[in-house]
Amino acid sequence: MNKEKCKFYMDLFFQLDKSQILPAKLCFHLITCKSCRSQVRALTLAERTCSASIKKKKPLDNENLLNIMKKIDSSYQISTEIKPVSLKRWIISGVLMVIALFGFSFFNIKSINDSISISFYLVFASIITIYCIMFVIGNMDFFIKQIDKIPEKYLKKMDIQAL
Amino acid sequence: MALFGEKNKNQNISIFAPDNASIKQRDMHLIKKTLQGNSHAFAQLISFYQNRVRKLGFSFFKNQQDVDDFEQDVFIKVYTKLKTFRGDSMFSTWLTRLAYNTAVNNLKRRDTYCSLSEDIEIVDNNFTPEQDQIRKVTAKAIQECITQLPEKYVTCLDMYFFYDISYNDISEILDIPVNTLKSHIFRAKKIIRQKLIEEKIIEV
Repeated sequence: MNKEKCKFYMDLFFQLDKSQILPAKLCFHLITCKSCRSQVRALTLAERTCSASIKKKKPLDNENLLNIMKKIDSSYQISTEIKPVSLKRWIISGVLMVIALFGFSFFNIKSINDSISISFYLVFASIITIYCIMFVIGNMDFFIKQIDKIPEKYLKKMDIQAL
Repeated sequence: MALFGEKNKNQNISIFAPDNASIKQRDMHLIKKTLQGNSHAFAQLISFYQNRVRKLGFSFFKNQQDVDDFEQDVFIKVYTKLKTFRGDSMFSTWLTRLAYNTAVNNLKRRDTYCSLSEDIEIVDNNFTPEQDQIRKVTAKAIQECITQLPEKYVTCLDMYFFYDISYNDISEILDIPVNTLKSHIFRAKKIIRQKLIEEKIIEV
C-alpha cells in the first residue's frame, strides 16, 4: 500500500459532490486497495446515516399536516375510505365460463371421446383457477384493507390459534 | 458519492438510496396532481418533506410553537408558489431554499443558528449499533468542524451532510461561492475520516 497514492485518491474522493459517480481511476484504485475501499464505504455510510432522519416520511394523519391541509382546503379529510370493488365484470366473466363449461358438456358429451373431454375439463379447471387468482390479485388492496376491519376478538382468537 | 458494488452488511440503511431521478419523478407527479386541485397529493408531498422543514425550523427557532408556525408558514407558501416551480432543480432544493429564506426573514428567530449535529441523540431511526456509532461520530466531527465557523458556513455543512443538498444548490441557496463551500466540506470530510479512524470504525 502506497500511502501517498492512497492520500491522493482519498482527497479525490473527498472532492466529490453528492451523487457524483466515482472517476474511473479512483474506481480502479478502490478495487485494488482494501483500506481505501473500507474508508470510502464507511464515509459513504456516514453521509447516508446523517441524512436518513430528514428523509423519513411522516404519517399522513399527523396533527401538523392536518392543520396545514385545513388551512389550504377547509374540506380536507384524510382519505381512508376503501374504494368499492366492482364485481360486474367478474360476475359476467364467471357466468360466461359456467355457460361455456355446461354448454361444452351438453353438446359434446356423446360426440367426442373421454380423453379429449378430460383434457377440455382440465383446460376449464386451469381457466377457473387463473380466474380466481386474478380476482384475488386484482383486488388485493381491498382484501388487505379489509383485514383491518376484522373485529379484535377474532384477531385475538387467530393469534391464539397461530401460537 | 455512490460506490458501485458496495453494500453495507447491516441492512437498515443501504448506501444505495432511491435515486434522485425517481424522487424527482414522484415529486413532479404529486405537484402536477396538486396543481390540478388534488389536495391529497399535496398532503403526500408534505409528508415526504415535513421532517426536513421541521428540522430546519428547530435550527432557527427556540420553541415548538414557533417551529409549528414556521412549518405552516412554509407549506402554505409552497402551496401558493407551487405553480412557479419549473422543475429545473429537485423539489427538495426548491423547498429548502424557500424554507431557509422564510426562516432568515422571520422576526422570531433565535440569534444564532443551531446545527443539526447538536441534536444527534434525538433520532428515531432503527439504526444498528454500528450505524448509530457512525452517525454519532460523524455528528461529533461536524460539530468540531463548525465551532470556528460563522453561521453561514455552519448552515452549509448542515445542508450538505444532513439535508443532502449538492454543492451548487447550497451555493445558490446560501449565496456562497462554490469553491469556498467545497473547501469547508472537504475539511469536514477529512475530520470525519479522522474520527472514524480514532473510533476504530475504519482501519488504515
